[in-house]
Amino acid sequence: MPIQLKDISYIYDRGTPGEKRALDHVDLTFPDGEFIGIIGHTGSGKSTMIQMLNGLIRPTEGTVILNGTDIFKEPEDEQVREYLKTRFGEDSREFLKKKLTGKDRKAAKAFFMLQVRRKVGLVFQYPEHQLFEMTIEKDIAFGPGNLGLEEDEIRRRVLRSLEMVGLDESYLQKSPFELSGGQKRRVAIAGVLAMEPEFLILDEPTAGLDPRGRDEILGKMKQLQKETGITVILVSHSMEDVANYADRIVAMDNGHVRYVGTPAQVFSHGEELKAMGLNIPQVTELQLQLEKLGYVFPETILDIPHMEAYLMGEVKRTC
Amino acid sequence: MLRDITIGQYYDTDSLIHRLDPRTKVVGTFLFIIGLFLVKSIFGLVAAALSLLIIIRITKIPLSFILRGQKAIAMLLLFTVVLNMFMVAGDVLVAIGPLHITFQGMYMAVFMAGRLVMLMIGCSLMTLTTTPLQLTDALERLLRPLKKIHVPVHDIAMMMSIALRFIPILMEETDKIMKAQSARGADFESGGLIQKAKSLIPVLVPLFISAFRRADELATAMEARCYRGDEGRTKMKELKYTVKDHVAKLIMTALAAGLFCTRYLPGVLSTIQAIGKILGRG
Repeated sequence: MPIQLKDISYIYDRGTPGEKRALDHVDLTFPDGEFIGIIGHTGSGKSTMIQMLNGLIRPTEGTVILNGTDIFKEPEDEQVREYLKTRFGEDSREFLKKKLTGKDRKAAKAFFMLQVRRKVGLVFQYPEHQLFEMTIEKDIAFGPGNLGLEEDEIRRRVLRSLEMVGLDESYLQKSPFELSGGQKRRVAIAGVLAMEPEFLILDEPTAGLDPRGRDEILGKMKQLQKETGITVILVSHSMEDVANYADRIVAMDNGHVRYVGTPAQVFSHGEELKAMGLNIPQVTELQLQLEKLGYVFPETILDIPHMEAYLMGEVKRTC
Repeated sequence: MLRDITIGQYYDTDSLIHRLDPRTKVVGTFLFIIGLFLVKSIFGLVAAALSLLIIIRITKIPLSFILRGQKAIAMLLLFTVVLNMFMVAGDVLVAIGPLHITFQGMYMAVFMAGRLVMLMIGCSLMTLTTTPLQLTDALERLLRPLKKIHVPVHDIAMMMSIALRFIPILMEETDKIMKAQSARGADFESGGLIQKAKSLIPVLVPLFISAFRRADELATAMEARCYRGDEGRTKMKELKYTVKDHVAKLIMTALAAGLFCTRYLPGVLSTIQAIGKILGRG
């Protein structure tokens, strides 16, 4: 089931002289199973937008719809009763009482929000800064533990998510603080994966990593999306990264969504993207320069192998 | 979540008082406080209140904003008033069992409350019109004589300004970590006190680590720019007194002296009355 943003606006510091509109009437759907890249200049509203997807920020206007339900809506009486039934059992006093209290509603709301957080995993920038446990095992188990899962299930998830980020069992009893930067980050990502989300949002997951660490993390995420069918949403400043990994790109500027489409479609707007303070992949830049000299390309080329093949073909044809 | 908290709240209106040398404001506030404690009669208190109102007008800060900031001392104020009302001996006005309210007690309560409120307003006027960094600068200069007896004045001032600078940074950091842990299903709101305290561990541990990391990085960055304490260090903005400052200090000294003189006002008044009576008879 997709996440939909409907007519979302967000205003910081409303009613003060510093009032700022971070998002302005955004309509956007994140379909299932895709690898989606979000690009945008600093301050374009990407961070605000992704924090709405799992309910950390409440939009000033508009609704966030996950699997058909508005995630910020107050739960109906029926839903509160349903929650009490699953929480305390069918013949419990809590479920059978006539009047619902404010406390019940609050608990139900927190419970539903927890479900949203479970389905939509969010990995912040520099996620290694949120590690806090004595061992890697305990740290990864923090999320599943908050979901109230059984011990066996937690153990299974810890192992599975550790494996997904490319680390083995020998790490379980180590302290997260003795790892290298790239490894710490992988452990932190595993901490979110252990919630087994249907949507995984990564905010600049490769910032500050060397090229190898970057390729490893992004490769793992692509593999995860292909194998498990979850949706991966990648926020990145690197046009090469989104061009290479994403099926679909969302380009944001100044609180608006400017372009949505395949990498080739979006990067065909080279000049406009540059005006928004964004770049295009270097290969596409080369194509743009060649087109200015009068060469004609059949499509937008995004990576070096394709460009090489095309240019070599042209060379052979003309010589 | 935590963004709304303001500390060392500076209210910029660019008034005459904002532009005074921060040392003038520290000294002026000090003089005002001395004046307040020398006052013994209600006349003096009224005089102090009037001069405070004039100063507030000059700062152009809305009175309502200043009063709102005094909420923090409400409990202390209540405590003072109630204690004074019941504890001071004198002519009984109302008696409730063993407790009795005296006329003198009421007078004391009003007097003490007035003094306390004005004390707080005077101090907050200083912080509202001076940025925290200016304030530490002023303290460093004013306390400079203490260096003779080996008080590390510069180091204390530097620590104060770094601490002040770090408050918003750590607030933001806390906000970020709380969000990151919420994304992993952490719940900071429900549960009892112990549950809530426990739920803060996933926030406090990363916060401490990050505070130490930042401190370490800052120390390296300062050393890389040749910081080695007070020795031979010059300033880009030397504090300088101007005519305004001298005038302001004179006014504040006069105010303190005036407040001191109000002690003798009742005496002077009764003397005048007595003289009047004698003259009337004669």
